[in-house]
Amino acid sequence: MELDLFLGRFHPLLVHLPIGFIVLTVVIEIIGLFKKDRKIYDRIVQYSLIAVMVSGLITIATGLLLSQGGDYDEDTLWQHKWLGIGVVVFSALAYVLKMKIRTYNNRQSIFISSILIILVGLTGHQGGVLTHGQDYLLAYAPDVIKNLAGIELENSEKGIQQKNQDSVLIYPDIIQPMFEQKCTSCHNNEKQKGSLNLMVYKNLFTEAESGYPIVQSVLEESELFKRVSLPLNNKKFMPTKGKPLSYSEIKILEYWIHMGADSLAVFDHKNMTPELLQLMIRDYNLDYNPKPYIETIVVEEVEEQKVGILIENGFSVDRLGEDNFLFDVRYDRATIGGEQINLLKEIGDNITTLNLSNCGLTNELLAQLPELKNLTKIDLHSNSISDDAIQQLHKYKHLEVINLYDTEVSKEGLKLLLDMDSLRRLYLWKTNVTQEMVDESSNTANVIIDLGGAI
Amino acid sequence: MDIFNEAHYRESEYNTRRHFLKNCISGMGAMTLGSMLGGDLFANNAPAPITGSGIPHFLPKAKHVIYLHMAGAPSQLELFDHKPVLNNLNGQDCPPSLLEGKRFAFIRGTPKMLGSQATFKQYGESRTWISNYLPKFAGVVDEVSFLKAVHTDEFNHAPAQFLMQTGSPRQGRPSIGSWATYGLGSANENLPGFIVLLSGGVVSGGKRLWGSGFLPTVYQGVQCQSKGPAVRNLRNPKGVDAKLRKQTVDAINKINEQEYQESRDPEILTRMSQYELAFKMQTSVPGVMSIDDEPEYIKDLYGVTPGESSFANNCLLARRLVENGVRFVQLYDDGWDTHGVGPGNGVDVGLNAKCGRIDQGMTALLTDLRQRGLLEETLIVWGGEFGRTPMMEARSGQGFFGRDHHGEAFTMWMAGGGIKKGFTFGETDEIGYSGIRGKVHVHDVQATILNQLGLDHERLTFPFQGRDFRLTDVSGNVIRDIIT
Repeated sequence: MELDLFLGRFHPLLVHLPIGFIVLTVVIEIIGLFKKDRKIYDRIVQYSLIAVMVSGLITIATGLLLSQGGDYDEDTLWQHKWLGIGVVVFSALAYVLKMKIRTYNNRQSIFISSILIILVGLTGHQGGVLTHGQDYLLAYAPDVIKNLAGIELENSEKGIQQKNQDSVLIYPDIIQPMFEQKCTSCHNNEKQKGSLNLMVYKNLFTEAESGYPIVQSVLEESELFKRVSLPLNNKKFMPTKGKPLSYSEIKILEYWIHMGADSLAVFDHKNMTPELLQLMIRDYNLDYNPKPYIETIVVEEVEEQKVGILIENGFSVDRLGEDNFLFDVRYDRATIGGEQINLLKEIGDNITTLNLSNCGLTNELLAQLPELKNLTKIDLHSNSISDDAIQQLHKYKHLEVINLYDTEVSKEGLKLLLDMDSLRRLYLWKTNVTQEMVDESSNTANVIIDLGGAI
Repeated sequence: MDIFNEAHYRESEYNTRRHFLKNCISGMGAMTLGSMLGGDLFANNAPAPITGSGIPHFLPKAKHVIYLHMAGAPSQLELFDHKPVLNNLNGQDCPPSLLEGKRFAFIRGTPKMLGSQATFKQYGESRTWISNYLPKFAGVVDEVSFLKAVHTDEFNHAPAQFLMQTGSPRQGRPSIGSWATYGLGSANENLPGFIVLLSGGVVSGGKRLWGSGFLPTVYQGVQCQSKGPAVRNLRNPKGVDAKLRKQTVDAINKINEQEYQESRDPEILTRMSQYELAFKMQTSVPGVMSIDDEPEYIKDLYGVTPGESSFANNCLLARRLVENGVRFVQLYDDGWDTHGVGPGNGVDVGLNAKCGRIDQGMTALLTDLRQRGLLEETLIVWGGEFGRTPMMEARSGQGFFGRDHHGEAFTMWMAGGGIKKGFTFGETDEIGYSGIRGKVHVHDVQATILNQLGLDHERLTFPFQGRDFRLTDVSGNVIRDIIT
């Protein structure tokens, strides 16, 4: 079975042989048309047709083997198979005719040549479709050609999906396409029912028959919003025919008007309702919920060599996802020195979590720790680190988790730690920090402090 | 001749003149064929990868997993699923609607409904119902997310265990731990990435439960013991010291390397890495697996009995292994099959006593991981292979309160590693017979475990016998509701 496929895979290679011979046949045949003595050309055409048949048969055989692989669209495969067989059969026919008639007249010659070329072309195209998919030929064609071929151009809704969600503009990307879909059949440049034209942005703020379509930030006075959000059976409800606006669309319109109806406005989670946030995910696949810092980091790829140096020096370096170049770095040996700490600089931007626990780290060594601008979590437990070192951690602006259990941190250190705005979790089991010190501290609202033991 | 010299001799024997010629000829052929087929002639002959990429698909929430499997299937109705209505129906005949078209492992005829033998109270800020069988665990419910309506397809132990651990009820598929290490590799090169610890007896599914199936055997779970030598057959024999052992392993691997260059059988690479790992483990494992150096207050916290293969010891070991970078620690605790076929085998006294042997250990594990900052990067999973019926089984007549196997609804819980705290997902009907809200299948649980490790269960595949296989086969949805 494996051998079948092995041989079958030569099909795409071998297929070019009969194609070549057919082209050769046709070229010679056509050149022959212009020559007085065609004998020699006829002879070449005969041999060439024999070559087409032989190589064609081998190609068909490998093709049949390849088709056993089974991953092909059956209809296309069927067409490709019979067209291919047709090419060889027709070549055989041409050969027989050639033997009988010797020299065709011009018309016969062109007729046979054309059929051969068309057959080969069709077979080849179906082969291409088999391997590359239905739309491969015109996938990158200019729009003009696509139009001619009747291929639908991508619509704007798809456009949103391809855009980075932070660059989605509410009006041009969502509201204007919505108008075009549901409103502009009656409110366009030619036909302006109620003297409203929704093709142009500035008309939204020009008085129409029933009032101002949109009054910036004032929903109650925005006639357009009122009309689309009326009960369905109200006779003033818009649109009068076709699909009404969806709940999400009404909510987006509401948000946009509320925020000032700027043509370049974008979504901002700070002033979106939880409901709108959910709707955007459900209907537009746009997630505006604030992301944890770690998910927003974009860093460059690091040369493998740099990672290699760290590994040689006792670090473990784990990449945190195929879609990013963030690293989790851990020191595995018993004692760390300034030399090793210095190495971290090499991939500084990429380190997001760092574990230097239980490796003889001191206040002095910690002071040498370089700038790591994307550090979100550091584990320093079981080291002789005291309050003096804590100031060092202030340079990490995104540090959310600090593990200092089994160190000498005490009250002063706790105070410094709690000064860090980004801090969310703090592990202080087996330190000099007590529950009383925590209770006395201010700004503990955002931080979970774990002093160990039962909860 | 000692083994080192023998290996040396065999190695020279291996490279005969015939060999050389054969290699030359096939080498030339291969070069031609290689260039014909578009291969890079000068590509280095590095062994083909037997590992996954080692990089998670997306940002992981957890680095490690500790899976506490209660083999035999504990009764959810005595531990977590509080059903007052069932208590009121105690002793009544089971209505036929619950029995029609159903198959049970042992129940025949019309069984009687059996109320919970435990008493329930609410605990924590989450006001979670926990029974008096788990008094210590009741104190940490605010760390945990409960899945109240898990269901499975199997009602016998071994197939249900296989389904839970390998995604298929038949043996031969890789276990979750194997898939995880295949996807991510081990975080400690001196220890296996997947370690299995047993307590309470022999698990029905046997060693195949932590087998690697069609994945390279390097991903198979390594069974360690808390009693006696940590790993069997790991000590050097008399007269062999570490240096000689190293030379032996090196020599064997050199031969293996040559054999691999010739045959390209990836299993040889697996074997080579296992020799290497086994050698490293000779020094690394005894240290990690000894709980003697733990301070007394930690031993007291877990309630360990040194030298025993108890669940508590295994919990403490699990923490130590995770601390040392082991990716997946699988605990099996057997003895939860409470049919009520004899004294001490019921869901009353027997189950209560059994719970007493895990309550402190698993509570300590959560507490200890939390205070070390490890809980936020370690996913804990707890559960049996199925649940138990709301009906009394009464196979042996009267006297003992037992419940039959029941796959339609049972409780599991997860904690740590990006799982919501103090949360309950799913609900069963008023007698706990089947899920009515938030039903999740075993494959959903598995998809969630992989998801927390940063792995997409639909993309973590391995080609075998002509198609790509994955842990969740063709189903499974990540249970997003319990993820932070």
